[in-house]
Amino acid sequence: MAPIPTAPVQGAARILVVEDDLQLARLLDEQLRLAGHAAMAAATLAEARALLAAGRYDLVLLDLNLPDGDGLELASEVVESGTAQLLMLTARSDVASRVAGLYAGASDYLTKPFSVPELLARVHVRLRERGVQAVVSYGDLQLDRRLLSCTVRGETLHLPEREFELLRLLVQYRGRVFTKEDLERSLYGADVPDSNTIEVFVYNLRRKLKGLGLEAVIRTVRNRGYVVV
Amino acid sequence: MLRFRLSLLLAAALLLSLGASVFLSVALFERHQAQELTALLRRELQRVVSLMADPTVGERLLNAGYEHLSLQLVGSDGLVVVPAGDPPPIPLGEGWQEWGEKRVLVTSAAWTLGGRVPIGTIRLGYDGEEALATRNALRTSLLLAASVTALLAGVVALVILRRQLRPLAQLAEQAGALQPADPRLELPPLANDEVGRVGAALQLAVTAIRERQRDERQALAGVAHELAAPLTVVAGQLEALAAHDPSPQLRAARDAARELLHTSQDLLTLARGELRLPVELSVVALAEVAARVCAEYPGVRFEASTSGLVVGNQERLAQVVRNLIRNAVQATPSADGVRVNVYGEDDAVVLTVVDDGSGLDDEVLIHLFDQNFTRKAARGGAGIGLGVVKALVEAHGGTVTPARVSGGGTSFTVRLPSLDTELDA
Repeated sequence: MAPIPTAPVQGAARILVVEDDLQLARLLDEQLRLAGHAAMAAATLAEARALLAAGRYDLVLLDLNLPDGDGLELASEVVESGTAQLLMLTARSDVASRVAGLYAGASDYLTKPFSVPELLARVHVRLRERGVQAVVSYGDLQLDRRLLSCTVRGETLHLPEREFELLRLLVQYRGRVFTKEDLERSLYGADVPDSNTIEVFVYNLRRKLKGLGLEAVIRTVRNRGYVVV
Repeated sequence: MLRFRLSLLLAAALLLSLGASVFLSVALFERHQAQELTALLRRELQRVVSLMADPTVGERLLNAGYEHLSLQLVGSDGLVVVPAGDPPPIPLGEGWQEWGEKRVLVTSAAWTLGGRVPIGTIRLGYDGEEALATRNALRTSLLLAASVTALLAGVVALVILRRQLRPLAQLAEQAGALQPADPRLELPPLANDEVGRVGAALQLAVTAIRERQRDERQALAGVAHELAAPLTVVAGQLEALAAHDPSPQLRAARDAARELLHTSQDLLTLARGELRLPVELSVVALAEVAARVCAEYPGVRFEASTSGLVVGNQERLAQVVRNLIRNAVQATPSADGVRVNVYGEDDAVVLTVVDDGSGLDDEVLIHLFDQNFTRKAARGGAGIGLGVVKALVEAHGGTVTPARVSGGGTSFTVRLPSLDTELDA
């Protein structure tokens, strides 16, 4: 089997393919191996859990329609553990929208049918993001996740956890428009607080960033949400 | 307008019936008047006849003169004896007669000497001018009254109808806004009358259409869903094979599989109702997206004078560009004839896809974006793709315009609001 040419990625990654369609699983497995990665395949939720428990993976490719349950359960486990990147393969748009809301920024998804070169490109985008997670930067701004600090030209400011998390999401996935609901679910999961919490966070962050000499970092997209351009 | 027509019809019907009743009343009045006058005339004649028996009284009588009444004694030769001066004789007979220039009511009796020897006729005429004038005046005033009544009735009817038909007008307006494609639109609650029943029937029909559409959409989604995994495998395996095997057959198979993949993505986009609202938005450089898609179609020429930042869904925008390029490539003998351009213009990012094909008829241009419209010519299937383009571009707040290019060919111009216009200051 010949590999499909893709943009080069630095370093091999360990990838878990969770897909119950055997033909598709075999194709993905082959292409990921040919791209230089170590791939394992699971056809059920149970198999996937066993493999995840036994070893560390850099990325999980997850089909959401599995014979023994909803892939979304496993998706939350993977996202919460924070050890692996997640790329979901969905078949239905309602799932896609739930996914987009629930795991804003923490995951990516592709809708079937998809082109395999496109999938490989997405996998490599996700893998490039790995490892740069502790410190995220945007121009002069540096965000350190371990210290919940934001530093601009040597001046450091510590932020409350959720404010930091909001800024990190916007900066790390710059260009992506986050709706208020996306951000609420990312920061709070199911227990969404008052409706204007996100506005308050954004207001505070803008004020604090202005104090550090940065303006117009967080932009409002009319009727849509927030973005860092 | 219904209410104007109805009021006019009502007024006309009223005018007609009132007019008829005026003529009937006048005719009855005329008959009655004639009877009364005739009776009066007969009585007068009897009086004249009895008075004439006394010659001195007869003399006085003839000279006395009556208002409206003319008395003549006519000899048996038909010449007027009294009054003198040879006036035309009052015609014989009963009822209305022409006498000179007048219409008179006449009656006559035998003129005898001593009650035995007939020497002519006593003729009595009643000048009817005044009676006729009265009658005409009556008819005129009755007709006038009828017209005014009908006019008033028409105006009143217009006001009443307008009030009564208001619910119907409202229903028409609401029904006009009711789109089967948008399930959020419903008719407001309706009164339980004829208008309400029309509305209820309409709502029922729209609901049935929507259910049918939903069923069809689900069936389509089901089919597409079944095809999704095998299609991904087929296209993926062919990508892998063709990447390292230059045989044209394999490339053709791979290209066909790609085409199939994109068409089924279009079908799924339609079936899932994803056209309205893209799920995931980001800041997208349209020029990058277009460049990437153009690279999938060797030969297509690409130029950009801006990065073309917009807010949108990257996959969907790629689908827009891809569908326009697929459409253009199908229209030309070679992909070299397709040019894609991205540039900025005022508050918009503009993408043009131009082909040098044979161009399109006006008829085709008009229906180009109907989702189910497929040209009968060789370019089958493009209808779905272009329908998806239009819906997706509009969901992004933009417009897409097809046009004929002078010298042959077709151009599509997509205008999307630029990032700057979407950001709050």
